[in-house]
Amino acid sequence: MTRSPHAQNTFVPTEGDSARQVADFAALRRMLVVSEGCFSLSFAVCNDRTLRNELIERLREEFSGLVVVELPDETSNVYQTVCGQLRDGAPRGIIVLDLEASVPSQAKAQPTLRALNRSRELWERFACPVVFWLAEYAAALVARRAPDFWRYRSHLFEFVSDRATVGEAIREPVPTSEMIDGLPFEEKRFRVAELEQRINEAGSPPSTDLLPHALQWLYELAYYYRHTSQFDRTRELLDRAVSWANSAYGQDDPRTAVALSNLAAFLLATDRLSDAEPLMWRALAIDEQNCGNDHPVIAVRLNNLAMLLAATNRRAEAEPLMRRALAIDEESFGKDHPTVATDLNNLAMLLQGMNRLAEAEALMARVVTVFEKSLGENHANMAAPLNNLALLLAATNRLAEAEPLMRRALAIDEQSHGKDHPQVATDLNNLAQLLQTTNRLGEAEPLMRRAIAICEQSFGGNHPNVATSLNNLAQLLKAANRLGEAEPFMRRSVEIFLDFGRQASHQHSDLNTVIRNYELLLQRMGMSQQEIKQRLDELQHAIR
Amino acid sequence: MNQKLKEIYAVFSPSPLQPEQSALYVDLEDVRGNTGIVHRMAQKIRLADAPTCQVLTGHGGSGKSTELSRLRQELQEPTDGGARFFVVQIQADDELDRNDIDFPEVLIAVVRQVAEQLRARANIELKPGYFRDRWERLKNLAWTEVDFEKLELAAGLAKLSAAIKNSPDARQQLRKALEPDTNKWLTAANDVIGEAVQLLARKGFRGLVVIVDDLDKMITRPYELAGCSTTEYLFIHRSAQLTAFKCHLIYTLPIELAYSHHESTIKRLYGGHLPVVPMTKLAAPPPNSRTYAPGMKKFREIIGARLKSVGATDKDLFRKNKTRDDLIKFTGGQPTELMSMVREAIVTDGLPIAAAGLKRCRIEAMRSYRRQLRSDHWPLIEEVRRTGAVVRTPENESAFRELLDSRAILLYVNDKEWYGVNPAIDDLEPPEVSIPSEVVS
Repeated sequence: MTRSPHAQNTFVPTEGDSARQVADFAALRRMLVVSEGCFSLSFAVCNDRTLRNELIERLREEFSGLVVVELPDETSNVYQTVCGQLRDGAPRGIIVLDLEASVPSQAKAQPTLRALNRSRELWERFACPVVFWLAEYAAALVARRAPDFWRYRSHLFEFVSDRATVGEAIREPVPTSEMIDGLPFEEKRFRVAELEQRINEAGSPPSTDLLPHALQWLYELAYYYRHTSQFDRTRELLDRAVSWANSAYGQDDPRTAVALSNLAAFLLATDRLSDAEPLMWRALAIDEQNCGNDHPVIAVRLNNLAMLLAATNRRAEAEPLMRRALAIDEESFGKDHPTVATDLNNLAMLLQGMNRLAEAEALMARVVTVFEKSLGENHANMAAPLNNLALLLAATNRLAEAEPLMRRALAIDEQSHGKDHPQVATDLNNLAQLLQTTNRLGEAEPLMRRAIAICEQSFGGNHPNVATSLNNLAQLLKAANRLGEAEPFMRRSVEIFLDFGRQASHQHSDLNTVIRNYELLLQRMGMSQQEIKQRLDELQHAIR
Repeated sequence: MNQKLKEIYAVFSPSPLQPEQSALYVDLEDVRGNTGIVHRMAQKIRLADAPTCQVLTGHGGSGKSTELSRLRQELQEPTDGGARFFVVQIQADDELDRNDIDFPEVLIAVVRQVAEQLRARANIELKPGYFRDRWERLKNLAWTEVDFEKLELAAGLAKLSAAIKNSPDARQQLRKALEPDTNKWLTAANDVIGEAVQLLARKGFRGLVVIVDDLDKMITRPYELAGCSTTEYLFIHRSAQLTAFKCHLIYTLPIELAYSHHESTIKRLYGGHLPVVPMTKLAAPPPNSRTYAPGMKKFREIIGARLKSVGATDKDLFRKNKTRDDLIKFTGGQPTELMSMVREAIVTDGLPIAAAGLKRCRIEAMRSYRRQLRSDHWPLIEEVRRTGAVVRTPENESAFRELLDSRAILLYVNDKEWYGVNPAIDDLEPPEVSIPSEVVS
């Protein structure tokens, strides 16, 4: 997976996530229904604050009498604190939040968790379901340091949002197709028109000396169309590349492997994983045949395959491939080479996905060190590893440590790409999310507004990336209770996604999420279900 | 008389022959060792299904540039009616400072010359493409020589090239600007090349060939930052970039690098071959060193062809045939040296050239070499004098390369590779009080 500047490191869950979250959320609700009036202990594991707050809102709406207890920082006796916060009358259920703040590190966690462990039997006095809602690493700590309490649970629900915590794989150096990202909107269109014309004129197939260039043009155009979600055209171009390479160079040629690999990457990114997989194995076979087993290009193929396996939940199979790629690169380039750091980065992300957070973090810190040493601390390629480490730290709730890293990544990207580059918009979004999480809404807002401006300038006002940024801003305004201001942004976001669906003839993967967000916002503003439905109907049928 | 003198002097120019001067061209293939360079290099380009990158080496003055001109001719107007290529030949000295060459300026030189020659010779105006975007991001650079307002690549880069060639500061700035992002600049360059290839196709050209000549004349010095010599740095460490242009490329390579211990590395990096334009065999390999008649004949032909073109004969130039033959032998088989010596003799002595005049030239040449040679050079010279070969060791590596570079020893390829001592040194004896080798601290 490339470091896509369009990657939405935002808390908008992916399709894959949604299905699982929906299932676990349904289970949580069922548990609340079924456990009414008797004690049960559950843990809800969730890294994503915004998501957490959303889901709890919905539960509150559905189950009146639900009590949400937010633990203050450094609470040493959780049970007592919870008791202290309860009013009279038996609650319908108790949700305990923010245990993370009381277990910031292993050392500090000791007394709190010991106390929690000892208090196990006291909780039965609550004749209702008790849900501890915590971040992954906190759950891991509880499981280890308060094992009796942990084992006391009847249920475990997981709302882990991949997008929020997984950083980008770095491919170094910047692949040539991505140059088009740096162009402002109008120039992008000229460039696209020019490439289309060149390809038209290239002949089918193009002559020998023109072919390497024609293939490059196909890849650049395909990159553009893919990232503007024009998938049919993307597919067409990449298929043509495979066909041209195959007929000119033969099916065992490395250049054919490149074409296959590019097509596979596209299929991977559009979730056609089973179509992508055979192409990737084929590309790997071609390159093994042509270059031998330990050539660096093999490492690239292995990494790509590993990403695919990870994306299809076969992380355990992915790990050995990544480790083999790492070994090849260490052998070819030496242990302190940026390419090796890239491999470590990818491996760290994989381990993060397998919840081996301590291992992941150690690797990621090494990534940053190697990059700093080999490239210099302000080199353009430093931004991605800094960002990834920041996300890892954020995942383990070390937000104060994460923030300076994000700021550094932002500064580097501004410097190397320019202040108006889409990657900068992504960084602004990340930082804004973090600020929002630490309740600095006032600081977060200007960043989000700037991100929106950049996306508009680079992609045009009607682009899904703009819509995502608008959604994020709306959510922030909602959290700050500026509902009236939030509404137009949210609405425009919905409009853009709807528009997209009309033009692309398939629905954007984030459409349902933003519609849901809009519904919740309108609800919060006091609209009735009837009015909300009417409003949505209007939007869906509007002619623009 | 004066007029004749001037004409003869002019015709013995050491400059490489242009295709138009075919009357002056004497094919030295047989006496150089049948290397068939032009044909082989052209074939490599014709038969390839991917952009090629080749190197060519040979002593300065061996006739490399003349051969490259013939290659250009062969590619642009093939005699067998095959496909035509558009050849852009770049003289490195026009764009670069041979004391200080690094990849960024080579990139600019290639792109500019491609744009310039396409405009001048094929009436094709290339657009700046991604160069414009790249340049916009360099706003912090103090100089504003680059201006793409009119969307013309050639015009935009013209002033920049002048600045690069003449100002070390400009070069420093350029490198600082390009280095963090060399791949992006290469992408921009290849995009321009792609456009060029497509537009040339409309005019019936199969592809584009870029020849960078005179890079072999770059000065080799230690380059501390990289821990190697300047030539090693450019051709080995930056080989990945030099070979990254997506058109056919030919670079000339310094002979001291080609015949260093990096020889096999160079071959591997540049397509598996290292063609060399060797010296012409005028005598058998040492220690035999008997005169080789066919070689002598060819050089006499060269002289004859030049004189004929201005309506003169041997008698006008040389008092005696023996003087002519002595002069030829003194060149050691270096065509350019033949030209230079004739001119030197004319200037020293006037026409016709007599033995005495020739002797003065020889003494001058010997003096210049004596100044250069150090004590660690002499054992190698002796070895070549005795055996016509050199046993290469890490210890004599740098001395050997220096001797090749300065042409104290000359490379020949006939049946096998062998070395001869430059006749200018032949009469020299190792000084009794030798100049000590440089102390390595």
